[in-house]
Amino acid sequence: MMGNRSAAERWLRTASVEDAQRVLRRVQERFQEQADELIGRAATARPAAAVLPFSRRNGPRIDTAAVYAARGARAVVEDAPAPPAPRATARPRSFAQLAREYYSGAGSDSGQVVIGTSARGGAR
Amino acid sequence: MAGPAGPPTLSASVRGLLAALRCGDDAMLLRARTRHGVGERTLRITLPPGVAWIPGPLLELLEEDRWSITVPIATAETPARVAAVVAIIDRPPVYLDGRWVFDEPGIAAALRVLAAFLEPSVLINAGGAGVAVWMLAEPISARDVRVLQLHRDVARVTGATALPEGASVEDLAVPLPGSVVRELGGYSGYVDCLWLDPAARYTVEEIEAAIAARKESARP
Repeated sequence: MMGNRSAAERWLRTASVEDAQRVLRRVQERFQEQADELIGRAATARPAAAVLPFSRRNGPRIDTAAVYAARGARAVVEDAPAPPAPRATARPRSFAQLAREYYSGAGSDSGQVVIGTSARGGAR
Repeated sequence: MAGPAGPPTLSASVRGLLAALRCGDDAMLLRARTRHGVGERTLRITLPPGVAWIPGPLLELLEEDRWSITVPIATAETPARVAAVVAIIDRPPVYLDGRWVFDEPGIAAALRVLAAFLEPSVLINAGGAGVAVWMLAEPISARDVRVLQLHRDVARVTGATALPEGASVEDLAVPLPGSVVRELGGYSGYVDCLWLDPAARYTVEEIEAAIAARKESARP
């Protein structure tokens, strides 16, 4: 409708009030459509950081779910990886329990020390 | 036996170990050596009852981050009484493919043997050298032949490492949590405390009975 600024100014000087109001409404509607499209795309897109903020220490699923749900991005929450299993044996109540659970998976490659203030001696 | 919840904090383990090994209100002597044995210090500290922090001079040594500190269970300078029986679980790490590998299944098996024998009051992890301590309900004289005899008997029935022949009571020492592991082979790490239960105290007779029971069960 308006090829350049001078043409638009010329048209505005000659247009009737009704015509000007009609054009303004059309421009406003177009801006609104573009804004809605951008907001919707941002809300449903998978943020690049979605797989990053999972800390092994903090139970990630609830907090992250709350954040993304607030943004209206439920799909991201469902795609989130399962949180790591809690260290259920980190607080032994007896020495016998400590001895029993000190090492898991004996005889396999997955074996690991599960009890200890620092894994084997603590790095220096 | 219901013990404390989880591994103790560094402060609690240092205080707990010192309190476990001291006899009465006497000053304690600690031996500190640098990792390669270049420096050597003897530290005399006193532990006021009811104070929950690490004594200042000891904390300074720990913060220097180069001292391997041990607490002898008896020394010639201190009143010669012994408050604990000690067993050494020696499982040194091996350097393989660019990292230190520990015999974790072997250590776990050793811990299960200790638990079946008599639950220790303290368990120290010094980078592959575990030290189990059974606190005595009543300290006994360091000249008492039972001190070394108990150490050797416990080692025999639990598969622990005993001091060599000719060693004295003064050679029995416990690594202090938070200090540096000093080991041949180049491994570098910190001593930590895996278990601390100050309420677990045993009479000599109870320990002797556990040794006898263990010998009995091992008999074919």
